[in-house]
Amino acid sequence: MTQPYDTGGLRPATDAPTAGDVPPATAGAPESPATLLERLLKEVENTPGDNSNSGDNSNRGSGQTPPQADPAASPGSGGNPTGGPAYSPAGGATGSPMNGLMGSLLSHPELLQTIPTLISTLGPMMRTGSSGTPGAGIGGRTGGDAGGRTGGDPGGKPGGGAHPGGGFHPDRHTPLLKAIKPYLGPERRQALETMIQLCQVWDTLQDLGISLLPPAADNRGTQPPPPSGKEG
Amino acid sequence: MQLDRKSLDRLLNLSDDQLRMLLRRLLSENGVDPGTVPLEQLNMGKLREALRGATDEDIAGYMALLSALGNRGGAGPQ
Repeated sequence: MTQPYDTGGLRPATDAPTAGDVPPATAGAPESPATLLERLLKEVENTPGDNSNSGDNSNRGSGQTPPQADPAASPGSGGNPTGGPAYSPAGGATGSPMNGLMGSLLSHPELLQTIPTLISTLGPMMRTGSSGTPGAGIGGRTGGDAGGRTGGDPGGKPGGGAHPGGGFHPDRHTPLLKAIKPYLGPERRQALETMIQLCQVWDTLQDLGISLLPPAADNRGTQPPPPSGKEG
Repeated sequence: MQLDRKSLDRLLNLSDDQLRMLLRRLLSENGVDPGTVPLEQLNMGKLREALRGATDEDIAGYMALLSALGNRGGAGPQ
C-alpha cells in the first residue's frame, strides 16, 4: 500500500493491510471523502486492534460512553443524542459557529484558498502568545476542559484571559475585533468575520488537542509538549 | 456511502487505538504527514463527544467543506 507520506514510526504495526483491505484511491480517480472514510473504516474495523478504549480516556473525564444511537433524538435539530447539551465547538453563544463558518467559507470559495496561508500566518502569532509557558503551545489548553477556555493557560492563573506574553488569544481579541467591525468596509468586514470564525475553529481544534502547526522547533528553543497524555 | 449518523456511530464504536489509526490513515490519504499531528495528545473523550453531538447540519457542512477543499486540489500530493 502506498502512502503519500512516510509515516515512519508513527505507523502502528497493526496498520498492515487486512483481508478486507481495499486498494487506496491514490492510483485512480480521487475518492470522495465519504468513500474514503468508508474504506478506511472497513480497514480499521477489520484490524484486530486493542479494544481497550476505556483506559485511554479514564483520565479525561468524559470516558467511553457507549454510543447512544438514538435515531429519535431529533436528528438535525441540534440536539445531543446523549441527552446532554448540544455540542458547541467554541462555547457557542451564537449556537453553532461551525454552521456560520461553513456558509461563509462555501459562499466565498476564494477564502478557501487563503486558509493555508492564514494558518501559516497566524501560527507564529498563536505560538508567541504561549511562548512564555513551555508546553503551553497549541496544546497548551489540553489540560483544561471547556471551562478552561477563558481561563488562559493551563496553570489556571486568575484572569487567565491575558496570555503570558500578550500574544494572540481568540477569546480575548474577538470582542475587540467585533468592536471595530462597524468602521470597516464590506470586504474587510467579511474578512474580519471569517477570521473570527476561523479562530473559533482553531479554538475547537485546540480543545481537541489537535495542532495544525508543526512542532515547536522554532528558534526560541521551546520544547513541544510531551507526547504522553498528561491531561486531566 | 453517505456520511451520516450511522457512520458516526461506527466511528464511536471503534476503540481509541482504532480511532487513532483511522485518523492517521485519513491524514495520510489526504496528503498530511501524520507525524506532524500529535495524535497521541488527542483528547479522545472530547473527540467522541464531538462526534456524538454532531448534527446532520454539521455533517453536511463538513462534507461540503471537504469536497470543496478536495476539488480545489487541496488533497495533497498525487
